[in-house]
Amino acid sequence: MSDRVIGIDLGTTNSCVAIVENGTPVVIPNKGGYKTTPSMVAIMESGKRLCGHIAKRQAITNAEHTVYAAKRLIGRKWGSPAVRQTMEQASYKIIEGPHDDVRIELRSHSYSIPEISAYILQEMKSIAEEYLGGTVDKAVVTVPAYFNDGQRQATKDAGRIAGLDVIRIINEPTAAALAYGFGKQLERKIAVFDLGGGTFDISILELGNGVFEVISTAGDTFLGGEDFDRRLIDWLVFGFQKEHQIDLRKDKMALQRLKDVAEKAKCELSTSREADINLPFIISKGSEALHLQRTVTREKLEELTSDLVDRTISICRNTLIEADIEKSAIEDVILVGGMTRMPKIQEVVAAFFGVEPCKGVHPDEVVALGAAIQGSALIERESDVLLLDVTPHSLGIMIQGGYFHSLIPQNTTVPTQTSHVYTTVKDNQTSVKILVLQGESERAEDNELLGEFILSGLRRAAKGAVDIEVTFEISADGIVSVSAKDLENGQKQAITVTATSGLTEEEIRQMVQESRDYLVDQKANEAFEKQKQAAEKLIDEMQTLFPRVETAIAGADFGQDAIKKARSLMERAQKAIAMHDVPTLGDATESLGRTLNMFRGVIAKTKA
Amino acid sequence: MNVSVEQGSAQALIERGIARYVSGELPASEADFVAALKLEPDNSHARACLDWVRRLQKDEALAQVDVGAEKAAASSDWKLTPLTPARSGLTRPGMPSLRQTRSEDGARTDPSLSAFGELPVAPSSSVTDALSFETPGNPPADPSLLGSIEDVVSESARTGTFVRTARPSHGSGEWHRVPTAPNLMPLDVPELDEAALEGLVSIDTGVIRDRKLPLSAMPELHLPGDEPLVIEAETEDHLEPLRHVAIEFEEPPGTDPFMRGPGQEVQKGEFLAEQHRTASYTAQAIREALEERDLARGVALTGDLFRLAGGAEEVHHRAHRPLLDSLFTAVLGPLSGIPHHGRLYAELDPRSAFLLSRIDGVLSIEDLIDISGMPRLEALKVLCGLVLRGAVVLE
Repeated sequence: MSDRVIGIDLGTTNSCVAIVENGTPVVIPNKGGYKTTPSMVAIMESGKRLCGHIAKRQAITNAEHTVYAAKRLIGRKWGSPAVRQTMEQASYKIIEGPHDDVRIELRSHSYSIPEISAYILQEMKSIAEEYLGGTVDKAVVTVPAYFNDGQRQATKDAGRIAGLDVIRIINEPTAAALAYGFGKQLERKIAVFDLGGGTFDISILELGNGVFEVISTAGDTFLGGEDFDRRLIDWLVFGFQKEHQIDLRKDKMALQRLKDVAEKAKCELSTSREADINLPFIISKGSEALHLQRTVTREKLEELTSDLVDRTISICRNTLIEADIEKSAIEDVILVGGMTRMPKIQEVVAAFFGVEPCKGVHPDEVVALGAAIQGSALIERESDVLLLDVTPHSLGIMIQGGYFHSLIPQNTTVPTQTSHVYTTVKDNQTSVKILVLQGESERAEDNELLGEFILSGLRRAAKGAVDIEVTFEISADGIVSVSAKDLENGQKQAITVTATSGLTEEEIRQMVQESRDYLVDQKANEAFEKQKQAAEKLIDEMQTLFPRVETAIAGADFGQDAIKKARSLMERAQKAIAMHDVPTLGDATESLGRTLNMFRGVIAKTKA
Repeated sequence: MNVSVEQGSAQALIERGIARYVSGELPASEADFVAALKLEPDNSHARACLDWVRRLQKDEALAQVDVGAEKAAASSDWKLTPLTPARSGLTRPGMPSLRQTRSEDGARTDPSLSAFGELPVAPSSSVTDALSFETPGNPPADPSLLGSIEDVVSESARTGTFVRTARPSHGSGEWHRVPTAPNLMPLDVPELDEAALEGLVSIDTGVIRDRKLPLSAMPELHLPGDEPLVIEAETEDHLEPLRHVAIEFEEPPGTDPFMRGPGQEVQKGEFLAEQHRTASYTAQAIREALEERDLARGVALTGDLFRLAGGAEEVHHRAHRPLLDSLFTAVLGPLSGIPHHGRLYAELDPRSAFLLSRIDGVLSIEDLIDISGMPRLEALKVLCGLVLRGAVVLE
């Protein structure tokens, strides 16, 4: 078991992993040198799983079997509006799970959302392990501030399936603020403006005395960088169609190339005034191959996406109004997400809040860095960062009139306990139904139902004459217990509410096992491929040497034997490759190596 | 099937395996190929046969095909059984083959055919079936479509039987042998109704005379020179099933399978018949190119093979797969190799350009195949083309 804790920003579109090394938080690049990895998973016809950049590069040509933005679905109930909305847009098949949860069907196999997220977490884990040269099994994972218990639990389950012990789930804006305030003692209100690839979130936080409190959070789970890309793609497509009467969107390969190039051009326009788009041989018209060549300016991109930019500001405005916070109260604005590199975004954010956004933190990395800082603080006793778990939402019960009465307010530090006395609403009422809810709405129906129970055997009396004490308790592990007690006769009922991700314990255990098996198979395949490459290289070299060896030693009996033996070894290796026989291949490769050395020696002597 | 074999002879075991395979005894057939490989581990023919038989047995899709075939049989003139001898697909050099073209009951996509990589059978209303039989008194609507084959059913005055005669008419005088891969190849001739076949008197190919052979056991018949193929039956009814069997005659080399002559396009039914043997011919040409290390020619020919076999995905399931693997490996080396951009090229097709656009110096060939959005063999072919032209270099 290693004591290293990685911080993972499990994003809707991209994910990022970081660690604190010698007191400094650093982002870990992946094999391709990128510091973020697309949160995409694809299943190939062969059953092979692709994750990250490689999955993204085939996302359009293999759209039905490529999952993106699984985060929009994690921990959601089948009937939820977010699921419906995702279903309208997703190219993959979303189906109902056995526990009113959501599943994704890929190549006739049903995957739970935590499983899909686990594949991404596993990828991040392996990026970290490759960088650190050892195993990593603990992580702090970030989630949006609005995630409820079920979504947080599902994220934790994803970590477990990926072979990670998620020691803490923290809010993304909190992580960003933590990275921003790392090494500083700040006491102020800040805004975290997070425009990622697929979602937009605005959060207002109060920083003080080492406490990071999310005062208000809002956003749009269907607004992000991909919408900006799409606008650029549409512009390119229409231009091409006007010129050649061909709709490039109908050709998957052309569309995939367009998508890639549009994203690149968009990024380039953050630093340049214009970008050249050049897609040679993009499609054929008769026997002629056509090229797409356009120049796009920053102004054009801004014109194409102005309504999207306006939407972000409109959400910011509403959030401040709802939270009753003056714009002038915001002292700093932290930009999070790659899209915030767009100059226009920075300009409108500065204009709206009246302060220049902080540029000292990297928008793609800040959340992962914050998670790594928290992870480090959790295992280092000498750390001066005090981190407390808080309740993401208010907890309470439904009262007369369908209203929600909160007993534990949002952002209360856990563990905590609180009680409140209620009374009956009817004469001779002998039982009362307690509905345990979570949320911020005054209307009970708008909040999430966590559980319910009935307290019966109440004393018969006039309405308002019976006192019932309801107690909420949240343990350090986040387990919520609710009890109701008739204060006169001592009659008591209680329930324990545990967050559920939509998966049973048995299902999670099975997924953990499958995930381990997959890794074992993958490693075995890698070992075979490595061995195969080595053998093929030796065979190749041997074949090149044969004519010279034959000339040098064929005259002797020994020479004939050696050549015969070498040929037989080559055949043995080839057979072992065909049969996937790793041990035999290993032996044959070793012998081939020795024979090759011997041949090299013979040739060298002959030369001499 | 009780066939004795010469002890210790791999070839005899292979032949018995094939015979068992033809009669539908797949496990026994598999055992023979395994035994042959024990004797001669390098015997590629035995290996290919074994692979094919195992694949057939493992292929779950076949179970569905069985169901589909039964359904088709219920509404059709004959019984379709996917693993029948007739479909076993033993090819013999220089043999024209008998195969089903289609029934007359309208549109039908035969799942059993599709499973073996055939083109789906189109509605008969839209396709002229050039090589189907026409019953006496109902001559072909368009005799020109019969092209190079004179195909007549007549009543023999001498024997009182009914005779179908098919004769090549282009007068080349010499049929060229179709080079055949040393592998089992799936043919697509359905098993004909045994009851109907009982009435057959003889199939005379000029080589096998006066022998009563079940047609289903002879998916391909040898027709040397310009000898006619004569099938004799007791009654006209016994010839009825054969109305739906096309005969493939080999054409002289150089004949465009799509064009019979200026302005005379070959119809689909005829193309289906052409397709199979021309694919074999192309495969042989690829093999020769590989042996001569003329890899560019070999890769160029794969395009023809894909087209003839109904696409790269279809070839994937056919016996040409090992050949193509050898060719592509000869060009690309191990699939774990990392391709890089080579020199710029003035002319590319969109698929090559797409594949080129995926190359980033990190992804291996195997990765590229995965993300290409093309069938595996197609992606390999395109990549080989890029490597041979220098647009891609391998690490």
